[in-house]
Formats: sequence, structure tokens, C-alpha cells
Amino acid sequence: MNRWLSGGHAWIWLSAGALSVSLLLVAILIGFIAVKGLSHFWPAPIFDVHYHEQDDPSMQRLIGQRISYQSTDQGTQEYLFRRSEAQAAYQDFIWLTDAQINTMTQRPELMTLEHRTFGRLIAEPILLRLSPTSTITPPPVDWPEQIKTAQKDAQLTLLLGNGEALTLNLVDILEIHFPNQLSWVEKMQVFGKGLLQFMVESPRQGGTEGGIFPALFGTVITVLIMTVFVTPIGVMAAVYLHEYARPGWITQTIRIAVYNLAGTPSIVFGVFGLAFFVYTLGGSIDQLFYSESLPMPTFGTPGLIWVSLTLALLTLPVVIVSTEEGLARIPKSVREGSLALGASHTETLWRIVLPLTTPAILTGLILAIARAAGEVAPLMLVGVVKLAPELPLDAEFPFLHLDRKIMHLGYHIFDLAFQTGRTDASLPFVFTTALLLILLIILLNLSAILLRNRLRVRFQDDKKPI
Amino acid sequence: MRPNPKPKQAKQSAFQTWRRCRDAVMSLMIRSSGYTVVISLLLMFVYLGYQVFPIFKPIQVTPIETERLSEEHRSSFQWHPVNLDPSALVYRLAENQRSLLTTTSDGGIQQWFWLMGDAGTPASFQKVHEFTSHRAPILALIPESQRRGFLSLDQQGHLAIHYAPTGETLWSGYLTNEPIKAYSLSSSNQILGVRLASGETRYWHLLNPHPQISITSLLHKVQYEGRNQAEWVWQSAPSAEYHDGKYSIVPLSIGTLKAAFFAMLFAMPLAIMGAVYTAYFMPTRLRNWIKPSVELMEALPTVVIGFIAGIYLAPLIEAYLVQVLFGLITLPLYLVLLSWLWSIFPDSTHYRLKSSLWVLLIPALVAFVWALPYASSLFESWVFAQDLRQWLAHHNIDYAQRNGLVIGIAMGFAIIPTIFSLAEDALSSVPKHLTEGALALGATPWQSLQGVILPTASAGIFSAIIIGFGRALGETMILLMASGNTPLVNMNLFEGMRSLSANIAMELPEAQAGSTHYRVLLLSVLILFVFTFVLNTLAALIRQGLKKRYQQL
Amino acid sequence: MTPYQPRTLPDPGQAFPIKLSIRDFNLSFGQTPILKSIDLDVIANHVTALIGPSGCGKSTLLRSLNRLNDLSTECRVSGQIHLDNQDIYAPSMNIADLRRRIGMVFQLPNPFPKSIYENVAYGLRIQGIRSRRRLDTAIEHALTRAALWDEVKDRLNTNAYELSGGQQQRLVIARALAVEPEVLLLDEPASALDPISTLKIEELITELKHNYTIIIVTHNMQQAARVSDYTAYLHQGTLIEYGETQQLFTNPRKRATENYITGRFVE
Ligand SMILES: Nc1ncnc2c1ncn2[C@@H]1O[C@H](COP(=O)(O)OP(=O)(O)O)[C@@H](O)[C@H]1O
Ligand SMILES: [Mg+2]
Repeated sequence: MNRWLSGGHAWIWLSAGALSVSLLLVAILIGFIAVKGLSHFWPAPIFDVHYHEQDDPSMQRLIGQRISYQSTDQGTQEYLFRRSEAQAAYQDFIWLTDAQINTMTQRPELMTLEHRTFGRLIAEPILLRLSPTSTITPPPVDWPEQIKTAQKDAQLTLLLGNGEALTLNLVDILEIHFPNQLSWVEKMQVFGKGLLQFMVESPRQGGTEGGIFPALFGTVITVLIMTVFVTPIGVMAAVYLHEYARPGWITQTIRIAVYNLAGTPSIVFGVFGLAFFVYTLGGSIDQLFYSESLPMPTFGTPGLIWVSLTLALLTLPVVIVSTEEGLARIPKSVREGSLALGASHTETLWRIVLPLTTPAILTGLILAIARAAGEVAPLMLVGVVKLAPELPLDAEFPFLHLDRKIMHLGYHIFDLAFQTGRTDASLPFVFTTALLLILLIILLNLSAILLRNRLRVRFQDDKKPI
Repeated sequence: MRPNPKPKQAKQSAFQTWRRCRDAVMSLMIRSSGYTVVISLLLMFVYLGYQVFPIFKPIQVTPIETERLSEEHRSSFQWHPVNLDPSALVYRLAENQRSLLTTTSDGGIQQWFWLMGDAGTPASFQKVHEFTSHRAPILALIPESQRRGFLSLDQQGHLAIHYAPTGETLWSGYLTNEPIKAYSLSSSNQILGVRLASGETRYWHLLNPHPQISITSLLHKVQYEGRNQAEWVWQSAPSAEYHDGKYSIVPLSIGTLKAAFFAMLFAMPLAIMGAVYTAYFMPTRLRNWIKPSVELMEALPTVVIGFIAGIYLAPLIEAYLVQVLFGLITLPLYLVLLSWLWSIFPDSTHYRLKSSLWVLLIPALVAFVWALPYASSLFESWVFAQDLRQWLAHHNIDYAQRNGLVIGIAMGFAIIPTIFSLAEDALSSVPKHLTEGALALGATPWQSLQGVILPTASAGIFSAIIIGFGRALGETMILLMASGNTPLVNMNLFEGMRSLSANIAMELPEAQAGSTHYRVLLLSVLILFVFTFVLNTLAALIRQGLKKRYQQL
Repeated sequence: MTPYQPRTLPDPGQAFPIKLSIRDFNLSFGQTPILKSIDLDVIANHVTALIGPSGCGKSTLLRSLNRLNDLSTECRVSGQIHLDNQDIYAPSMNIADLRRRIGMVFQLPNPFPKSIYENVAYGLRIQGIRSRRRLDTAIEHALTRAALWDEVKDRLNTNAYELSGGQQQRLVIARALAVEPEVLLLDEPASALDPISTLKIEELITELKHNYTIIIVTHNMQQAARVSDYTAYLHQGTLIEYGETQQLFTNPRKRATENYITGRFVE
């Protein structure tokens, strides 16, 4: 007992426990998001369900994809179905318990399709009109083949779960799947395709359909423009601190300023961006160059350029710190070698030191991009909106429209999760967007870490005795 | 012998001049970039200060020459005769019926509210504010339009400007010594006209754009109309009845501090102990692997954490409140118990396993979570003898789904990596020879940690805590999404809060540039900025001092 | 210990001019004096060796000659150093040009992480020489003088880090020679090399002195005796003795010098 106390075993266990808890929390969080986000694209089986509402014994029917199920406290099962109606009159998702379900059959011909105007439909096909005169109803397993071989002017008649019948032209149908007939490999293909579409399409129906391409594009373009601003200033500031400044109160002040830029809440930058960049700077630009369109503001309103500038200010310390670390790692002997040959300070810097620092600068930039991509709060003030009608880059002069409002992955998450009414329908998209954002950031960070490690190894090799 | 003949002298010297110019330009650019950092920080301070300053500007009352006002303008004034019998002066303030002003013969003005009594007591008129700026009987009470301020004129020619909701007299001064016959206030509340007994008309310009804001309204409890007691209120959205925003920054500041406090409570033990373990008991190879993972964790966007916290964690905690609370409390005890059980095994296994303890603990933690529902329901029935939620309701403790507990866990989770990596740096950069010295003297690893490492690294750990705290103060998305955003003034773990940062994110996009609301929001940003500035500077100084000390050791 | 007094040349009758003359030179880093009142004349086209126990200020003295010590913010100097009657510490002095005229080779080879070609071309490019042909001839010439040409002529574009230590050191010498300096400072150029490479470097030094004035720091007494014409002995920042190598090694005038060269020196 005494030994137990003096050895600090309790403390060691507690500290190990703290580490495990932290790591476990991260793992759970990321795993949870990954499962929730990815399962949305998995072609879940379709069921034809006869059920009754909790308080109403009359039988109802639905045709829907079983998204998930769980056991309740009473030991029964509970299922979540996604169903669709042509004119979405009521909710798309429904939870049913064992007790409510009368029959639940998984027939091979049940299908999901993507229609140009109705969006996603889950239904049972009943009739295929190949030409004005001939109609067929193939055996259930032959539906995919028949639809594939049908002419484009063919029509398909469907029965929805609520008894509604619908006749659609095949040309208007973008995609058809028969999840109940798909093999595992085919399911993977559908899954991959869904994921891809998610990345390249624009959101539809308030973000509950389609993809997130504009948000992804907006995120990428803001951070790219940000790098244009932050790289030269960040690198040169680091060079100043490490190579030029003599130790003294000025250097001390700059260092404290760097710490402060790093530690100041991002919302403060957002407010500064709005008040100074947008209203003051943008307002002045409007008066000088765009006075003909006033009082309609051009730059005097939140927009892409202000988002990028605000982010540049926010990530400046990241670049500075990383570059300075890189500079510190360059052996003194290499600099002296250059100086001894008659190169001036700046020539040495430009031709020897900076090229050697490139990996560190890149690391800093990647970290800055990762930080910027994850920021949301300041962006909602300076130019990110829930739905931007146009991309900031197009074929129209001047091609890059710095004054346009943009969409952003992080804000899309916030908006879909909290501002949109149909939570059940939008949640899968929130998860997938979150997953994409996390993956993007993890990827960026990993590459920064790898780059930094490579850098370390390289200079270690240099120091080996010859 | 020399293969390359010297280049022509003129060309050479031109090149040298170009070289020197290039160098000078580059140095200049580099230097100015260095200063840019300081300048941008300074600019942020100065600019925000400059935007906030007008709300604290004293009121200015300046006479205007009659000719300066156009005929048209002058004819638009509506003149009201003054009232010479002060006791008859009862005034219904603004459009609403709940507030009355009365005057006394010695120049006092009282404001009365129609207060709803608590259950059982009847509603009654109560005197709430008293304005004592006049020494002579009041001639006129002049309400401002669009807002709830009013002016008062007395028989000696004194003017006072008051703001009714806060009960403050903002300005008082002397206008004229001639008897006043009639007065008029323009609809912009900016021009006061006075007609004297001599028939002369005089005008004053009143510059009073932000009457709502004063130290009192920002910081002190104020009894607003219709409220039974003085309170700190943040209510910026003007409802039809209340035109003026109520801008007390106290609820927001308390909300910010409350959120940061609970987050620190959750994050500090985990982060610091995790750092101690990583820096001191973990083999280097593993440490090289753990550190980047923690960095990754730091990069997790807070919008994602906020989303999970708001949509999943909050209902989960509501449903499993006892389990969560019980688990948070018993987890450390559980670990201590495990360590004691473990110490029964022979000594040699301990130190061999010490470095992989954290892996061994993961199944132990899973077992803990599995057993939690059983243990906690036992605990619940034993301590509370009823459902915890019922118990809370019985003791008048409100419970909101998005509350301090949710924020503590979610934001704590977000700041763990910040504190962890800084603390780990501080711990692992303690010079090795110090520990080795202690170990050589026969101390156990724990004793050397306690006696040598922790005291040396304590300043660094302290600065890690400060920075983590600063981050918690400024965090926005998690609070916006999971705190409920109710501007309350309390430290109840089970109620929500609204932080400065979330409030800004919510309200600034709607606030009109230059309005009082806009400036107060900027003031709250400035408060946040100054506060984190102090914290960051402190942490930076500590770290710089520490670096020097490590070099000396 | 009395410092070396006479301000005359060790060999007043010789035909070579004085290349560098150091007069009453003091240097300190912060509060610590490192060099104390150094008086030394370096004769053109000869090899001068600086010897002394480690930490006595040899490198510092060498680095004072091309003002590399200026990089340290703490460095304070007084006294004069003249290069061909030109005060190198004069404010009007162009330091970059001074350093071009006084080349330096360091204790550890410090090639740039570039190709062999670019390493040698570096100094020339700095001087604004772009023409490929001129660069090619200059590089071949420099590498030949550094006795490296034959070994690397087929792989000029490989990274300099792939050379062996001895080759790297000769590359660094070639790099210094390429900008045609007048003086060459060598700070223990062979201390990190194997005996064969050391021998090559020593041969090279003897070869080079016909065209350059060479100052070499070494703590290897035999090396000093082998390669140098004049030797200066430094002790704790003070110049104890300076004279012809032959005479200093066989018949030192100062007791301290004798102790040092016979290895009876105690720190
Ligand atoms: N940049 C510097 N700053 C402070 N002290 C220095 C610096 N460079 C050298 N010194 C000190 O000057 C003294 C002489 O160093 P050095 O000239 O390198 O000796 P050596 O004769 O071994 O070459 C040493 O004590 C060293 O610590
Ligand atoms: Mg030396």
C-alpha cells in the first residue's frame, strides 16, 4: 500500500487513462461521422412494408429503403425507412417498430431512381411502354435488362408506396438502381458513384439532394487566394525575425504580436474583416472605381476577396512560425559559405537559404490551409452564404470574380444542420460534408507532418560526420 | 594565366550598383513585412476602438444661428407652449402605457411603472427612477421620437437630457435666462427650438446618437419597464413594444466565462495528465506517433464538433444524464482502483507495462462504459431516491437540453489538443540531465517527475492552460450550435448560455453599420480581444522566460 | 607572458609586399575579450600558419579578416586591418566585395545542396556572370586548380553531397578560387579528413601559394611545419610569437611557444 502511494501508481494510471480517454473520444467522433456520412450512399435494401400508425389501426403501405435499425429498450426492433413521394407532401423518413409492421417484403424489382424534376423516387415498376402500342410487364428480375434495352422514348409506370401511380418518360430519368438485385461489387460501384456525384453536383432542394460542389469549390478557391496573400508576407516576416532583427524590444514586440495573432479568437478577425475590409476598404473602393453602380455595393459588401484577406490575417502566424522553424534548421555553415564568397545578405537569402527552407514554408502553408479550411465563424461575417447563385470563377471577364459571395463546406454544415427545416433529410448530407471536410483537413495535416519529418531527416543526415 | 579577362569596368560598376539597389529594396520589403504583423494587430485595436468610441462620446449641445436653418425646415417645427403649473405635469412616456413621468415643484422628476405583482399581489404603480437634475420647477417634459429618452426644461432656463429605461440624466446645462414660452424638438431628436418671452426664437443642436449606452446600462443591473426588478439584460432584437435595445454585456460575459470554465474543467485534467504520460512514460517511438495525432485532433473543425454536440450529444446527455454525471465522477476513482489492484502484482511488471498502459486501458474503459448504466441507476436510486431529472425539477433547478455540461464536454474536447501539445512541449523540453540526476539518487520515476520535472515545467504548463483558456473564450461555432444561446446570468451546469463570440456571429450580420447595436457588438469584440490579448501576452512572456531558463539549466 | 612586440617583418629583406597588416587589433564578444592587441603582417604569396590551443581565438582572428564576425551582434572591434593599404573596417568598405577578395574555407566542408557545377558557379553568378561559356571555362579552371577536375568532370551535375569528405573540401576550395580571391583563409581545412585527403589538400596549398596569399589555421604542428612559411602562435587571444616557420619550430624565442610545440603545454 505504501509502495503504491509513493510510486505514484495512481497518478500514472490516471494520466494513462486521460490519454486513452482523449484518443478514444477522437476515434469515436471520427468513426461516428464516417459511418453516418458514408452509409448515405450505400444502396440500402428496399422493402415493401405494410404498417399502421401508432395510434391508428388502419393499414398503410410504404415502399422504402431501410436506412438503419436499432433495438429498443423493450427488446423489439425499430427501423428507419426512407420513402419518397412525387410531390413531397409529408416526411421522407419514418421510424417503425416491429409492432407497427404487418409485413415487410424485399422484392427484387423494387427500385430507386433519380428523376429530373421529382428527385429521388423509391417505387415499384409496374408497366413499361416500349412503343405507343406495346406494353410489357417483365418478370421481376428482368426489369433492369428490359429498361436498359428500351428505347429512349419509352415510358415507365411506377407505383409509389402511397398508392400513387406515376408515368415517366425514360429520358427524364437520370439514374435507376435495383438495390435488392445488386451484388456486393455492384453496390460498391453505386456507392462510389454516389460519392462522386456528391462531390461534383450542386445542392438541390435546400441541400437535401444533389451535392456540394459549390461549397467545395468555394473552400478551395478562398484558401488559394489566401495563400497568395499570406505566403509573401508570412515568409518575409519570418525572415525578418530570424535573419534581420537584432534581439531587442522591437523583436520582442513582433514575437508577442505573432503569438497574439495566433491566439486571438477567429471571430475577432471576422469582425475586423467586416468592419475594416468590407465597410471601410470595400466602401472606399466602391467610391473610387464603382461609383456608377452605387448605392448598390460592389466591393463594399461581403465577398470572396474579403474572406481570403481575413483568412490570410488569421493564418499569418502559422506561416511565420513554420518558416522560422525551417530557417532555424539551416546550418550556419551554409550561410557563411555563401557570405564568404562575396554574396550579400539578401543574395544568400534568396539563392541559398530560401530554397532550402521551401519544405518548411510548404509545411506552413499546408497547415495554414488546413486551419483556414476549418474556420467558419469569421467567414459568415465576411462573405460566405448559404446559397451562392454563381461560382466565383467562370468564362466571363474578368473570370475570377473577387466580389462574389461564395459557399463554404464548414458553413454548409452549420446551415444544413441548424437552419434547414427538414433535419432528417439533410442530416446525411451534413455528415457527408463533415466527413469530407475532416478528410480534407486530415489529408492536409498528414502531408504537412510527413513533409516536416522528411525535412528533419534530411538535416540530420547533413550533420553526420564525414 | 587567368582565363577569364576582367569584365569592362563600367559594366561591372553598373552591375554593382544594381546589386546594391536590389538588396536595399529586398531588405526594405522584409523589414516592412516584419512590422506588418505588429501593425495589423495595432490596426485591429485602433480601428475597433475608433468604431466603438462614439458610443461613449459625451453629449454635445451647441447653439445654432437661426439663419443656418432653412425657412422650410423652420416651418416644419411644431411648437408646444410650456406648462407653468409643475404639479399638473404628468407625462405619458412614448406610446406605451406602462410608464408615467411626474414632476414636483422643486424640479424633481419621477418615473413610474405599472408593475404586475407576483401571484396573488395586485398590479400597482411604483416609482422606479428619479431624476434630480433640476433645481427649479419644470416647464416642460419633451419626449424624443423613436426612442425612450426625454428632455426637460425648467424655469431657470436649464435643459436636461434623460434616458428613461436606465433612469439616467445624460446631460444637463444652462440654455438661457429669459423666460421660455414654447419649445419644439425636431423628429430627428437633433434640433431643439425655444421661443422666448421676447418673441425671439433660438435653436440648439443636440448630438446624442447613442443614449442607450452608458457604463450603467452596459455593466449595472437596470430595471427596465415592465420588469419587477433590476436585471442584466441583453435584448437586441427590438420588439414592437420596446424600441430600444437592452445592451448589458454582463450576461454575455458571464456566458463566455461559464462556457470556458466548464470546458477547462473537463479539458485541463485530461490534457495535462495525458501530456505528462506522453512526455514522461511513453517510449519515444510511440510519442512520435501520438504527437501528430493530437495535432490532427487540434485541426478538427469546430463546426463539426459543434454539430455533433448540438444534434447528438445534447439529446444523448439529456437521456442519460445520470450515467454521464456518474461516469465523469467515478472514472478517476475507477482508474485509481485499477492501479491499486495492479500493484498487487510484482513490481517488475509495473514498469515494464507502464509505457503501454494506455493501450491496456482502452478495454478497461470499454468495460467501464458497459457497466455504467447498472452502476449509475443503483447510484441514482440510492442518492436521489428518484429520477435525477425529477429531483432537479423538485429543487427548482432548470434543465435545458443545450447546457453547460454539453458545452463543457464539447468545447473541452476541442481545447484538449491545444493544452496537451503545449504542456507536452514544456514537459519534454526539460533537460534530460535533471531527471537522470534524480533517478540516480534513487527516486522512483514518479518522485523525480513530482520533484524535478513538474516544478521546472510548471510555468510552461501554466502558459498552456492560459492559451487553452483564451481559446475557449473565443471559440464560436461550438457555442453557437450547442449552447442554446440564451443570455442568462448564472453558473448552472444544466442551463444554457450565450457567449460574446456566438452573440457576435448571430447578430452582427443583421446589425446596420454605424448603429448603436453595431457599435455595442464591436465593443463586445473589443472586450474579447483585449482579454485574449492579455492572456496571450502573458503566456508569450512566460514561454520566453522559460526558454531562457531551460538554456541556463 | 609578454606579447610579441616588434612591428617589423620577420624577414625585412624579402621581395614580397605585405598583403594584410593587422595593427593593435582587439575583438570582444559582449564583455569577453577574445583577441587582445594583435599585430601581424601577412606577406603576399606565402603561407602563414596560425597555431595555438583550441579556443585561443585563431578562427576568430581569421574571421576578422573577411569580417565574418560581423554576423554576431555581440562583436566589438578596435584597431586596424589593412588589405593592400585599404582599411577593411572603414565604413566605406563594401563588405561583399571584401569577402570576394578574401576567400575562406571552413573546418567542415560546407558545399551548398546543389550540383557540383552550381556550387562552383555560385560566386560567379553572384558577380553577374551569366554566359555559359565563361562559366564553363572558369569552373574547369577552378576545379583543375583545386585538383578535383579529373575526379568530377563526368558528373558535374550530381549533387555535391554525394562527394566524399575530401572531395567536398576540395570542391569548397574550388568554389572559393572561382571568384579569384587575392587571399585564401583556411580554417583547419583538413581536420575532418582522412590522411590521404589531408595530403592532397596540403599539396594543393603548396601549389596555390604561387598565386594567392594563404593563411591557414591548424592545430596539427606537423602540418604547420610542412606547409607554412611563417607561423604565428596565439595564446588566449594574445599573439605570443610570429616568425619564419623553420625558426619558430626549431628555435622558439618564447618559453610558452616552446612548451606548446613540444607538447608540454598544459591548458
Ligand atoms: N560568435 C561568438 N560569440 C561569442 N563567443 C564566441 C563566438 N565565436 C567564438 N567565440 C568565443 O571565442 C573564443 C575563441 O574561439 P575560436 O576563435 O573559435 O577559437 P579557436 O582558436 O579554437 O578557433 C572561444 O572562447 C569562443 O567561445
Ligand atoms: Mg577554430
